[in-house]
Order: sequence, then structure tokens, then C-alpha cells
Amino acid sequence: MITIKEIVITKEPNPVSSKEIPEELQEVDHENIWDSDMMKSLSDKSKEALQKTLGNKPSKQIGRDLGNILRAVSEAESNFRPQLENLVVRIVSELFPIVEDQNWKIDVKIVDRDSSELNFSKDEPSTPLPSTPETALTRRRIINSITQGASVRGAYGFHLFKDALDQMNPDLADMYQQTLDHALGMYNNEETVAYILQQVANDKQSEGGSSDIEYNEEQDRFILKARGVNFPVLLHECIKALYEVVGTEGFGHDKERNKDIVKNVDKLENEPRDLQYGPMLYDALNNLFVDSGIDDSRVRDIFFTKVYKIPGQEFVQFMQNVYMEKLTPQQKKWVGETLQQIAQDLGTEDASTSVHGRPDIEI
Amino acid sequence: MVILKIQKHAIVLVIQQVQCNENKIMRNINEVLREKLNALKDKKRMQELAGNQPQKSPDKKPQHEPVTIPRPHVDPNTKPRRKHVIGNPDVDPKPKAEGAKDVANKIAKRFQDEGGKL
Repeated sequence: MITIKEIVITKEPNPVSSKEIPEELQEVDHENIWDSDMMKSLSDKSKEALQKTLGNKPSKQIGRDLGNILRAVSEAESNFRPQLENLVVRIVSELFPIVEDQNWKIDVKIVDRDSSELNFSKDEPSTPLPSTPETALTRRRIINSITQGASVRGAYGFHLFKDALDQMNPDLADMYQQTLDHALGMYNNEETVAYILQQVANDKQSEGGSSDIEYNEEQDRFILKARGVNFPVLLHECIKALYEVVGTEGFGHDKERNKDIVKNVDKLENEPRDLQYGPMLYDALNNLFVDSGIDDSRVRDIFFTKVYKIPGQEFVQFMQNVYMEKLTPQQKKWVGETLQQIAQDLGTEDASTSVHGRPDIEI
Repeated sequence: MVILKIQKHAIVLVIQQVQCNENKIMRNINEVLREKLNALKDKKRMQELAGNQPQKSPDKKPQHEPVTIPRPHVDPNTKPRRKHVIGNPDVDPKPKAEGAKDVANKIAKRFQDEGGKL
């Protein structure tokens, strides 16, 4: 979630009884997942990221600046929404060839801040099962964080398409940089997050985008759905939807159990922390791919699905070792062999597909 | 005696004439043979030269009309099934960013309860 609407800072926060804080907020939180060394490292890196993006700017100033930037972006984009929506599809397709490889469909739209289309709605999941193992909840929380992290990192990919943006308005790229620095950078400051979310609760702003995935049985493929109030938010949400599909590989095939996990972990109140720590977790996992020297990003995305399937507590330990750069020799061997095997499989399949999809041949 | 001498001389002349004719014939034969030999040498040389050149394929007309192998039919909405198919249809994740207003205050309150000030 990105909370990036007009911010009014004159109102006092709504009083909320502590009884309204759900107990689940205490569950499967990052502090309960990682050891103290890793938590300290995550916190330190978050502070570094805050310095890089927003410096020592006070929360209220961040809120004010973000509101001003968003108004300017909205005005600048007003005549280019269809072009910008198409550009999001192009960027995601080109930066993430896994979309074409898996035949996923992209459905994106820039919508007004007060549009009912801004949010996707779904029926509430069924009654939770009391027997869902904690490791399944922890796994989902970690995967959600990586999904958020990938969408934060990927959103800045618009810079690679600056020429297309410049043709519409040469100021757009700079405005988008400012938008993302504020809207995403603020998650590294808990006070700012709390302050801006309070404005959300006061109905002075609402979230700036949302994402969802849908499996189309007839076409046997996933649809990545994203809505956003502007281009950078839409791009961020679309990439989030992409990694949401990747993240489903962390589930089993018991639908009721899966609903229970979703109900207990996929909560909006978990998103700020996931957006805060997720980029670092994503970076650590992505570095394994980068260090392999393989330049086909599909390998990375498929590799993520293999990691997400590591069973039980071993998954948590693996992720902690990845982040702390303390992989065991056995884990290193598994990483290397898995990446190479995926690359080899894709090479073979590509060769087969190129014959399958060849043009007519005359003999 | 005189007659005998004349006959003898005549015979000699005849023999000389015959020899002369034979020589002519032989000369002619040799010339013919030499020409044939040269011709054979020329032919052999030409064959040797021809052996260093790429052989020309015999002009053949195709035995059948060109056949076009059509590309396999590929449904535009589907692609060949890959080994690594991503996505688990048995799960329906909750959309991100749903119901922000319902929970935002809870997060703000949590921050305050932990000692933060807004």
C-alpha cells in the first residue's frame, strides 16, 4: 500500500482505544522472525535508506511535500493517462520477461483518487483453521515482504524509459523520482508512517494504489491487476502483482489452509513494515542471482519460487543466512546448482519454442 | 648383254620408285599418327583441367512441386507448457491496500502505544 493522497495536518488524530489493536499485530512480525543481529542490520539499513531519500525532513514536511508533488503529477499527467498506462505495460513486460514467458496478462489503469475502482474487493476468507502451523504464517510474511521489496526496487525502473516520458513532459521523470522517494521512502520512518496513516484514518487521504491477481481458468493463466492514482504508483503496484503470483508458490494445495494463511497474514497493517524491510530482503535474494553471472532475469524469478518452497523452519534459516551473507557450503551449492539448472532448462525450452513458433518453411 | 643391263637398270629404277613411294606413305602415316597423338594429348590435358573445376550438376527438372511445411498451429492465447510454470491457482491472496481507513488508526495507535508522538 502507498498512502499518498492529499494530506491535511491540522486535525488531531482520532482517538482509538488500545482494545481495538488486534492481537494479530503481535504475530509473525519481523521482530519475532529474525534474530537480534539481523533485526539490527535491517533497522540500520532502513535508516540509511531514509537518509538517502528524505534526509532529516520532519514527518509533517514529508506529508506536505508529498501532497504538493502529487498534485503536480496529477496535473502533468492529465492528458496522457492512456499513454502512461501503456507505458506501464511495456516497462513491466520488458523489464520482467517472465511475464511473456508465463503468458500472464496485465490489466492496469490510472484512476481518480475518489474512484471506487482504486480498490479491489474480495469476499472474506472462510473461518480460520486453528491448526495452521506457525511456520506457514511466517513463510507468508517473509514472502509478502520480498514481494513489497521487489515492487519498491522495480518502480524506479521507469528511468530506463525516460525518453518516452520526456516526449510527454520533460518534467515527469523528475516528479516521479520525487513521488517514489516520498511515498516509498517514508516507510523507513515509523513516525511518518504512523502520521500519514493517521491522516488516512481521518479520511483526509486514502491509499494511492492497489494490486491483485486473478487466475483465469479458461485461459489457464494469471492476470496481473493494478490500479494507481498516477504512473509511478501504477508501475509499483503492477510489479507487486507480478511478484504476488511468484509468491503463491509458497503455498501448498490445501485451499482451506491457504485461505487461513491469507486471512492471518495478508493484512494491511502488516504492509508498512514489509515495505520497510522488504527491499533489503529482496536485495539479498536478488544478489544470489546477480552473483551467478546469469543475465536472464527469468531465472531469478523462477529461482524465487524454488526458495519459497524450502520446507518449514529451514526456509526462515535460509533467508536469514542469505541476508547475513552466511550461507552454509551446502546452501551455496544448492543455490548455484539450482540457478544453473533453471538457466539450462530455459535455454532448452527457448530452443524448442523457437521451432514450435517458427514461420512456414518451403522445401 | 645390253638388254640385260637395261632390264637390270629398269628394275633398280622400279625398286627406287617403290621405295620412294613407301617413304612417302610412311611419312604420311607418321604425320597422321603424330597428329592423332597430339590430339590425344590435348584431350587428356583438357580432361585434367576439367577435373579441377567443380562439377556441374546435371540439369534436372524437379520431380514434384515445392512443398510448404506449415508452422504448427499455436493458439495466440496459449503457449507451450513450460517446465517451470509459476503460480499456484489454489491460493487467492488478499489484494494489497484494501480497506486502508479501517486499519490506519490501529497502526497510528500502535505507534503511540510504543511511545511515539504524532
